[in-house]
Amino acid sequence: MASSTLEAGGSRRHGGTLYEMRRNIWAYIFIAPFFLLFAIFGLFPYLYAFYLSFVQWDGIGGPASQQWVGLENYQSLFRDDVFWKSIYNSIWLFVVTSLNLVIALLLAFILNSGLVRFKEFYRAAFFAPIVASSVAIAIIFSTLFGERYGALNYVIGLVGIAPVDWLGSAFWIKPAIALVVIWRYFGWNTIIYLAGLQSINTDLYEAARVDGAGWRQIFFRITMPLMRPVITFTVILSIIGALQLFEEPLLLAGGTASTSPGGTDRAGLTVLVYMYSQAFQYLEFGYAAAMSVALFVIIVVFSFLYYRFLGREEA
Amino acid sequence: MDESLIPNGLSRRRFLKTGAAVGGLGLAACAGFSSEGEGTTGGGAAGGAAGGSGTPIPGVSNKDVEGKTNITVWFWDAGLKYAVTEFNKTNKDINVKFVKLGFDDTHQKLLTSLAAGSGAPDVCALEIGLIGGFAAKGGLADLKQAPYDAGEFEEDIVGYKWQHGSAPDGRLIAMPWDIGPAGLWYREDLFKKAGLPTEPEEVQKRVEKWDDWFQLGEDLKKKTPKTSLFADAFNDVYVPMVEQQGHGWFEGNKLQFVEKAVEPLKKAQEVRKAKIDADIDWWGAEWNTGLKKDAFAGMGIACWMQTGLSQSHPELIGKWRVIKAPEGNYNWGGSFLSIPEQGKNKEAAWEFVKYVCCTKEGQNAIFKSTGIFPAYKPAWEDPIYDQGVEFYGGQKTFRLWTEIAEDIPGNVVHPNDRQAGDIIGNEVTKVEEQGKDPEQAMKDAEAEALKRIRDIES
Amino acid sequence: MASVTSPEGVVPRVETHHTGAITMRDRINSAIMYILLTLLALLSIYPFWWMIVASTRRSATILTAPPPLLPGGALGLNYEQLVAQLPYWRNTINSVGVAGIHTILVLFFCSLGGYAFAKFRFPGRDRLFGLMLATMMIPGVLGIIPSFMLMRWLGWLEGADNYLPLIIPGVANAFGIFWMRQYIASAIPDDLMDAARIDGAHEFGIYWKIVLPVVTPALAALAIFTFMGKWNDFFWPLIVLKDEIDYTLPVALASLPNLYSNEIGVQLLGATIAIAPVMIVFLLSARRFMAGLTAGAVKGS
Repeated sequence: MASSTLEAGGSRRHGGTLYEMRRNIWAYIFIAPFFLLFAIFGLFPYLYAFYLSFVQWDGIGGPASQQWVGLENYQSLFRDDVFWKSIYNSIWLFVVTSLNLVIALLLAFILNSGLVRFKEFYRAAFFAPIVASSVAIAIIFSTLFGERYGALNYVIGLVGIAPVDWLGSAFWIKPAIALVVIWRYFGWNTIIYLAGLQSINTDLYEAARVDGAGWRQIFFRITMPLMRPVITFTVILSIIGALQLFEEPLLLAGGTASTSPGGTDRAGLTVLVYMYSQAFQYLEFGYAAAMSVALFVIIVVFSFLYYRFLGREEA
Repeated sequence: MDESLIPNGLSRRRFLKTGAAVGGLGLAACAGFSSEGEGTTGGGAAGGAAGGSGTPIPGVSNKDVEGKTNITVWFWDAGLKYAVTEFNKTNKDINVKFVKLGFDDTHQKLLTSLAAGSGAPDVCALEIGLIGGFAAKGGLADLKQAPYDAGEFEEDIVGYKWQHGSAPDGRLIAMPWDIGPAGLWYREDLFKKAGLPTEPEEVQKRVEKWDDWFQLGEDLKKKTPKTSLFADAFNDVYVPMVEQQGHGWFEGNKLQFVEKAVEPLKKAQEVRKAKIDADIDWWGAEWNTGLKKDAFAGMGIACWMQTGLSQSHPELIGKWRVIKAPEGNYNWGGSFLSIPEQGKNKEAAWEFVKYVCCTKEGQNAIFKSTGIFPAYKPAWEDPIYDQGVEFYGGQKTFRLWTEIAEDIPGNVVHPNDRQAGDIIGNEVTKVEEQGKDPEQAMKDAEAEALKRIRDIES
Repeated sequence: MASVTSPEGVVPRVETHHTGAITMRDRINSAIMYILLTLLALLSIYPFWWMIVASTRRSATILTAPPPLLPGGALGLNYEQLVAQLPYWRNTINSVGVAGIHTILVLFFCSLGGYAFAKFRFPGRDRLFGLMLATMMIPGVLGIIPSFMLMRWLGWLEGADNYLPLIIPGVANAFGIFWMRQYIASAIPDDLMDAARIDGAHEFGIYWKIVLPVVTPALAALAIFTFMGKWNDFFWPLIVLKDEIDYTLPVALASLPNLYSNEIGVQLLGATIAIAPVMIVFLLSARRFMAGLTAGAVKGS
């Protein structure tokens, strides 16, 4: 899978872009459904959301009540310390939760190595968090993290540590959210990696074993390089997913009568939770739209940086 | 694209947000109203008050009735179906279809429909914690105008509730339906164990000021060290003390953070420091377990708590008593029925709204089945309001709730109530968790609100 | 000392010592590995087990700390209430239909698109691919309102058409195409297709007969995630669907709680029964995931 870039130069040698296009007509047909559906179902909503970032709108009065405000939403956004705080929180959570990719890759490698018996059982087990309903997750984890009767505090109490207010303290809320996210998605990534590992010829492993390579060498010399496209996929997906964390922070720090979304000092407020509040709770649809444009730019930059420096599919 | 990032179970009502998402209010499905003793069967065959009875959903079976005007209503409690069935039976021209939605979902779906310019129902319920945003112009019909002329009912509706349904510019955006008169609850058995007075009259006499209530807490803890008087100072003290001054954070366009919240916060902080509360967050498994283990003997909460508690903790039926909160009554919760401007059958919609909100039969049908307490005062003439209630050991609490309701200060809603609530909530967490000075906290909250919310002043 | 000097003595001893150490270490390593794996497995399964337990209990005995570990006796009652309050089985059929049809379409269109991006070198490919990836990075929340308007213009909010907004948008989505492209890029050697082309195979035939069979592990993974995603989809169906009878499961289950009382056991029973088909689909597809040997064999050939 070399040379996925710099195609244009190569193709011209065969006799012009038009010729190349005609020669590859089936490729265009094969990718057409995406672009067609996007044109129908995606373009209008996205352009509309982009347009909203230049208006002030409470939604209640319908489309007619939108007021053009130019760049005002963006100007306020850059001065909004809560927005920057939510960006910080989201990036923090992204960095810490990327741990789940490491766990998943190791697990997939171990399960695929043939060293483990009952691997069907483990694989099915790791899949379980994905199917657990949000209601269940909310109840289980709030019980687990409970300050007075929670299991976690019980366990640390056994070794003499004082109870921690996991969900109430500004310090612990992010680790608590990260824990839930990792728990919830490592199985997802394990399955992706397992599927990816199926494309690696097992002969390669055997040849390496014969040559006296240890599992560590096999992992770093064979598995990692050959899995690169799949790893790139999971990393990009993680960037998109982690920077758009929404459900878990809301479940653990959603706000009550005497609190606000994000918990104490908004330490658990992610960009998406903040954006959602602005739109659907504070009725600042224009402001929220500007926020989503900014978040889009941030995600693109992160993805691009990763792809540029680490994700290239060189041989 | 459409693949929404907003999953199930996320957004819940403001004050119950954690509660519902965490299954906290998670109490019971068919809320048998325990004054009739159903609750004592303990969750088992508690009767089909809220839908467990197997009756088909009216909206489904009555679809497309010929020759009638069909209208749709969105609400979040199955209790409404009794009123709908009754209405459809007696009204010859209108057929109501009831679509049940989740609590927060009702509001989200209405908001989306209004924003998109179509899709709203003929009648939609709103809750006090979320109604503020809908006060913005253009979405909901002003019920004071023709053909509704709701003004004729103003005298019959509890005073403060009428104001809750009104926008700052005087429009009535939703018809008051039910209320949440609140008081201080305590466990008679635990008070007895601690040698404290147990009769509501005596306790009421002792609790003239908030400090008396806290003193009671100290006495209780001295005798029974494992039992605090209430779970969470910020829910059981701060919220009631704020609400006693009338709901909401605005007077006109003037912010009220410092005026309304500093004293309650100081009290809550003091109480927390003196370890009078159990320091257990409301609604979740912690709270539920604490209740079972007698970790607290009381709470500040509204009448509707009876419905859930009689199902989730039937062993406590008969042990609860209620007194009025010292230094003023307050309200917690309650809903309204609104008529979106988009609707095509506004007059039929109004007929139904009137039936539910402004007739004795409509109101009491729902009250008796679910405990949703009427805002319509003539409904209180029913004999049931003068009966002793088993849940409260025979105390005549229904009458008590009506007395409390008559004496609660009102305030109109403001479109920015929600945002203001979150801004102040953020500072409240700092007071609670990090010991921030309440005065400074409220000043900071005002500064932040002035920065974020248009057209308001401090 | 003597043993050191004696080659016969040393070598075997070192040898035994050596192999003995490896086996011991291997055993310990393997024991640690099993303990860790099993611990992780238990942590993963626990919530699922908890859901089953909760489905058989009433709220008061669910919301406790420590949480309940064994089933209770309220399964029948919970089920009775579930089917009394919801057209539950109809909702389940709706969900299966919507998620199933959507998934099949996704598998087809995404593998097709992913294949084209992975194995054709056509002008504009990288730019189109980048554009497609970018669409995936747009936060979707605010798109709900204009999407809803769009559905009204298309007339997809009435009658049986009401399911189209759930099924059609996204059948050729960036996530799926990206995934298939990455997988195909590493799984299929170019000469395989070149050989087929020389034999005069049609391009669609190559996709259908050569590419698809090789990428079943990736298709299985995509199927699971697409199905799960659609199955759990909540906000969009909530906005689009109008009638209880048309609800998909998450929307139906979310409508269960009443204002001041909420029987979690009923809700969780609904969710647990609903998960069963997903688990079954997953277990059935197990062999597909592990079909690596065949995939590898193709690559080696």
